[in-house]
Amino acid sequence: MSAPAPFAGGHGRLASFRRLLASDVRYGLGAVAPRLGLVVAMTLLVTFMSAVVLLVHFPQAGHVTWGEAALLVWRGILPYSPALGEPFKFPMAWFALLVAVCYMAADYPFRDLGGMGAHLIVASRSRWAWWLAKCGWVVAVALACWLATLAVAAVVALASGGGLALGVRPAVAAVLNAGRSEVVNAAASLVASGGGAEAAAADATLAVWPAMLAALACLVAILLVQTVFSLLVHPVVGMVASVAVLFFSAYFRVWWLPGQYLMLARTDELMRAGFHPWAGALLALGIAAVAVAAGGLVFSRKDILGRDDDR
Amino acid sequence: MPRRSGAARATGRASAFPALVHLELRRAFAGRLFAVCLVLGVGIAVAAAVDSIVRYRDFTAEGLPYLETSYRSQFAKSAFTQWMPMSVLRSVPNLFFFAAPLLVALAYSWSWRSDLMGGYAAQLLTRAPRGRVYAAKALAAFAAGATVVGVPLLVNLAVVLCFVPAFTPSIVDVVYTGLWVRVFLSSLLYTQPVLYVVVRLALDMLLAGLWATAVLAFSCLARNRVAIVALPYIAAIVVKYVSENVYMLVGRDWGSLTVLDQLKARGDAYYYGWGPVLLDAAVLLVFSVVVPLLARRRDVL
Repeated sequence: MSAPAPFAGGHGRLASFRRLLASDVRYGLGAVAPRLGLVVAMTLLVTFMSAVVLLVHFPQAGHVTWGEAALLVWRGILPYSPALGEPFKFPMAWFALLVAVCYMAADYPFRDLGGMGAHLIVASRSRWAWWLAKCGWVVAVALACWLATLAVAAVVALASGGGLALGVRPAVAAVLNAGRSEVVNAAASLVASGGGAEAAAADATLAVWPAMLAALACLVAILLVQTVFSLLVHPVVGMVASVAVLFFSAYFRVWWLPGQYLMLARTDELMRAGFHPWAGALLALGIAAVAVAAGGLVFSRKDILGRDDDR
Repeated sequence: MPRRSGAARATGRASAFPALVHLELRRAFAGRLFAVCLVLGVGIAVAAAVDSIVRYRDFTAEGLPYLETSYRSQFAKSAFTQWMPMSVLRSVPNLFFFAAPLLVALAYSWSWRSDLMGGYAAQLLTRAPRGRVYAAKALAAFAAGATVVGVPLLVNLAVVLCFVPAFTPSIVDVVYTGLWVRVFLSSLLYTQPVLYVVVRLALDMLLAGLWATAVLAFSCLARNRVAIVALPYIAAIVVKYVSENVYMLVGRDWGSLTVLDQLKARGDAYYYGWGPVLLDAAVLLVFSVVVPLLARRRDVL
């Protein structure tokens, strides 16, 4: 069944935007719902594999808190140093999840533009309204994926008996190689010297939730940039752009790559001289603003009827 | 008499497989997305070459003043060790190999589903057997995929060769190159590097071509073009991730299993040998053949 016409009544760009956004959130999210299943499946896989690794190396851990379960999925890697001569071991768990998220947001605007969307642009009399509604849809997709990973983490935490505590025990961060601060290093030494039980009994004092919020903001920013490439070139080229950003973020330790803030291991809570979540949030805000503005400007001048490639 | 188009010539003779292949090759290599993929690949390759040259100059400049007094691996970096598949410690070459499966698939592997949905396939399939049309398309997808990987590798080597001497690398300097004895075909690299380049290039083009035909086969099952390109890529990531974790947990490894690793000299977590390469190639080949055969009874029009 096709979507009802969002322009049955009412005028004005704001009204157009509101109706388009409501339509996109309702039908656009429905269109990519199976892909959310892929994101959930990927989250479950990553959580399971990481939990096995944690239990093998730290059997005294016993349970995981909500924050620790989130860390299993979002930890990424510590900064890489090519000078040490070791090959770059890419954080595949983190990457697999984020590629699934990028796939979820890859092509709905592109396909919509090739179908009903072109008619809606004419009906709404505003390309900007259509574009901003699609940006709203991207935010909704990012939020849905972020919440899905947190929901899986909550289920895992409750099932393991860890409860919904938001903190992380230093020893868990140390065993997962997701931190390099005085506290985490001390916990690592304790576990290595046979004090696993003592380390497991420690309080979950490391707060990673500010970093999780920054991760959401940066995810939105990356997906908005991907959507710009998707509409202007091709959805797969948009995905390649996202892959490049994620890859360079894992490889380099520079503040201006948004992927840094998607790795909890690199936050200042877990790593000495790590990245502050506020910096990530501000960076995400800047990137998102540029992506929305640049995408809207280019899209408002783009030929949308002369496209002969399929969807 | 007006000259007939490629499509008209190909479909005018139902048994003309070479004409079909010619038609598909022309469509593949003249396509906009193929050009986009090639430009992206070559762009990354040139960036990697510039990075290689700068690193070579810095490294050599540091060591040359000590040439007469001490050995500081002044000649550790040659054009062969600075070539993209060998630069396992650097970012830009790694990016190329991470993005390559996406670019290879985007080049032409979506075209079977695209032709079916656009109605173009109806013109071909009413004039030629489906098997021949598909085989011609598979050959074109293979060629396009191999080209999207092969040309950037060649461009990278050519640019590097313009600035970096092509002497035979020495195993003595392995700590600077990361190309240890366990690296696939390393004995060839340290004795006959030109032959190594030829074999490496052929192997990469073969794997890329097989990946392209496997994605084409997957398009018999999926309808969305982005899904056709992205889902096999996600599957490769999952295989790499799961296998590496299993290796770590059981304490031994059977080698890197996916094209993400096998397109370069060594995987970023594990080495590989002939076994994993042949296994990967066999899986891609079987998938490329079996899926279209199983789907041959499906209504395509």
